[in-house]
Amino acid sequence: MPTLELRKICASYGDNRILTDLDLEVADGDFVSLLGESGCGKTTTLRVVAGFLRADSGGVLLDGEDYTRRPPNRRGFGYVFQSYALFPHLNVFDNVAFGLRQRKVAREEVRRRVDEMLEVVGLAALRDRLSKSLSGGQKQRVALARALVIKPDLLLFDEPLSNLDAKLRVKMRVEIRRLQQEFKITTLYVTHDQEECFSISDKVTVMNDGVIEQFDRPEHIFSQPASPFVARFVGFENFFQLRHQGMSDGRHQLVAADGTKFEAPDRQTIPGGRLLGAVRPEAIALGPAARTGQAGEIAGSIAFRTYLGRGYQYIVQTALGDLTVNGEDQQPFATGDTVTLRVPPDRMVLLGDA
Amino acid sequence: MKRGNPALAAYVTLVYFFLLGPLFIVAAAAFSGSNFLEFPPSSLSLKWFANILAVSAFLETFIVSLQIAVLGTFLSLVIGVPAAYALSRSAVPGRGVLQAIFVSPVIVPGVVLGFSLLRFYNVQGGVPVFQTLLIGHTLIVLPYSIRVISSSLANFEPAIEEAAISLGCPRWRTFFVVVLPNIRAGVMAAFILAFITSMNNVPVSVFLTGPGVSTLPIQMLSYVENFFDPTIASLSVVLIATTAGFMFLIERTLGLSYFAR
Amino acid sequence: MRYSSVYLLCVPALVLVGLLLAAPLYSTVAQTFGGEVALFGRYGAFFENAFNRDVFFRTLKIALITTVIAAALGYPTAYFISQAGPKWRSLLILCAVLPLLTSSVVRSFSWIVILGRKGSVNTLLMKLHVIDAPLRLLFNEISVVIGLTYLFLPLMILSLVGVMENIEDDLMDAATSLGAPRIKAFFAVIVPLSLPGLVVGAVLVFTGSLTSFTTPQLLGGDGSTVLSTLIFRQAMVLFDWDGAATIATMMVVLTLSVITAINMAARRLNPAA
Repeated sequence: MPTLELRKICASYGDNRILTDLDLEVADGDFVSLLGESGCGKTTTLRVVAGFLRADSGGVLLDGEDYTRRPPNRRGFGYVFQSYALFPHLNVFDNVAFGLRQRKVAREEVRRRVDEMLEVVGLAALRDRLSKSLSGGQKQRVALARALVIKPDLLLFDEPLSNLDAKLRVKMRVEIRRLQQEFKITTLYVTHDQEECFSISDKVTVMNDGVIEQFDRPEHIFSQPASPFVARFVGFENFFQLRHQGMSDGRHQLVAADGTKFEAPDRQTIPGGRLLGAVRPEAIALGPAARTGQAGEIAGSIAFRTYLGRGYQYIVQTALGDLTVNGEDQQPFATGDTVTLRVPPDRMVLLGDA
Repeated sequence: MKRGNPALAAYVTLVYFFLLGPLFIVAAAAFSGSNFLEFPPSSLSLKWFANILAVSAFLETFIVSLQIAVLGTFLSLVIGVPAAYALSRSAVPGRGVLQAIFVSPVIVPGVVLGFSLLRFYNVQGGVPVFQTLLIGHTLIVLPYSIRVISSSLANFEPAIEEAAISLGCPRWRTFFVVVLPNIRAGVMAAFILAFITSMNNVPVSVFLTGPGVSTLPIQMLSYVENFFDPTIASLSVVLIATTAGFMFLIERTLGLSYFAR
Repeated sequence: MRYSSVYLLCVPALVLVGLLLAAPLYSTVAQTFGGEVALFGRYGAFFENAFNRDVFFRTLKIALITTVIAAALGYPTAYFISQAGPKWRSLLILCAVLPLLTSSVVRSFSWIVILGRKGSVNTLLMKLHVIDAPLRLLFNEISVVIGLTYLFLPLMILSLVGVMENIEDDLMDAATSLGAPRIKAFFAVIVPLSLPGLVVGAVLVFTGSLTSFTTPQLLGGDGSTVLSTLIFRQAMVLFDWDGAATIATMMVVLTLSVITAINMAARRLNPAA
């Protein structure tokens, strides 16, 4: 199984530069997601890999072989479209058989392999149905079967689940992961849905504005975002401008503009330049007003409260600005209550402020 | 082009030469100073444009054409809009049949329609030529009116009407204060399309001419059959320019995709 | 809306089409079966006449050739338009619509200017000394076919563009990603999916050519009479009302059967339509 390599890819639509010097390496058998908001260049990257879009410069390599100028029909990659792109004039069987027939596979073998594949995706009963009479989930399975049956060197997904309802999405993503592991196919998967992305991928590429912000394991991206953009993207909502004041007790000592002190674990390296501390709403502890003088304490008053089901979310007015805090207590604070917030040292992530 | 194919582009260029070339050639011949149709013209003159006005039949028939086109189009809208609206907002039994009936005049060959109207109304029924002509033109433009209005209504969300009704506006008034203002562009397009269709019609009108009643295309037809000077070319230039003006109007109001349906 | 009000709103249109159109048509058809003639006798008489027979089959032949040429010219053009960027697309559609909205007299007349004795083609050939005397290019079947193709090509193009525009771009990409070269993908995906547009276009061009009056009247000669010019002559020159009614009935039947036949053939070819 091959390794995919993108080297310094630049790509544009018309005069619109979408990708700039993009590098990416997808290891053999890995499931890698491209995650980002619409317009970040994730689909463009996928289309360059598939060969639908020719890069302005840079190279696409598979196992060291140059694919940059190879036409899409000679790449042998399976592509699953957001719209499914099933051929409306063909039935399920013929849709799945399409790729094999292009490869001039013998009749009997086409039948055997397509039926086998339809069995795998659970569509054997529908093999003679026209594709347009299928439900969304069924179409998705046909699209998957059609891409898998050609035994692709690489499997490419463009937001494959975005047209399905929430329940089916969860079911299908488990299915996709199962099939990918069963067939051990190197996979590139485009999505804007974080949960989907983290649950399914070996590694995640967070993209923003045509550039890769972070390429890492999902757990790392979630707990150790590499940039303010990634941090915001994965749910960090509170950011403080900080100055580094050295180490003490094996912890970084930090101070905010108003003098509030913070600590952060030393496993993080300190980025140069200005420093930003990021904390998730659920990481901050919320209690009645009481100062102990410890690091990470912030005084504030409740400005706004919303019910989340599992607890409450508060907007708290502080000297450091409005902070978002989740409280799990069933005894909520009321608007106007004065409170003390505590940021635990090990929940603070330090970032360079671009 | 996403992937330019030079052979295809060349072919398409030739097709467009075929589509537009003749109109350019007519335009060029219109400015000829010669008494014969020729291209390229050996000398230049505007005298054939002046000749349009000199032949009084052109103006007379133009006025008849205009009257018929305006009246016929107006009638087709007054009759067609309620039908199109009713059918677009309800799934009554027989809806498909009714729709088919309303567009059926377009299936009847023009000469058959013209001949049948002449025979039935004018010759046997004693209906004057002008009125018979009006019936014929109202019939041939009705399908255009209904079709354009229907597609315009299909793009207008019924929920907006339901909103008006829920706010206490009766259905018939909702049509006038909510639906009609929103399909104005469609009505405009239907009017222009029907008007042009009527103004250009030959096969129906050719049977329905009488003393003092003839339409401009029929007059042009008989002029072409009898004279070989460039007057018709000059008149054509005037008509093409008018048509282009109308198209500009449609493009501005709706976009030309209306024609690609 | 209550059903009764729906029907009420349809009444004016029903009266117009159902009465003002249907009555004269019925009367025309009825006339061909009236009088002292055997059932279908007038039709038999029509076909016994060799001239009429020629006219009948010439009409069909001209319509068929026109349709084939229009498809050959229109299909690649429509594909090109559907693939062009939005700006080019609307310009190209505009240029196809302009002739469509121009009077058929003007459009047929333009070919008189081109093909006439002193027309562009003869002038050019004489200048190049290819010929010494002007060729007789007008008033034959070929000039009629040219004129009709010119008349109806825009309809073919627009019908096809309407359908091709709605074919998802992803389908071509899907076909190529599955291993089909672009040309093969075109025949496997675009061609079958654009068939409905081709059918609509073919019906419009064929029935249009079958019944067109202006073009054969202006560009055809005595040797290229077609049904529509024949009906005109029977009715307006010879005042043979029975004969004209017979031809009229045949034209209606012919048009309806062509529409039915082409649609049935299309349905058989394409179960997805």
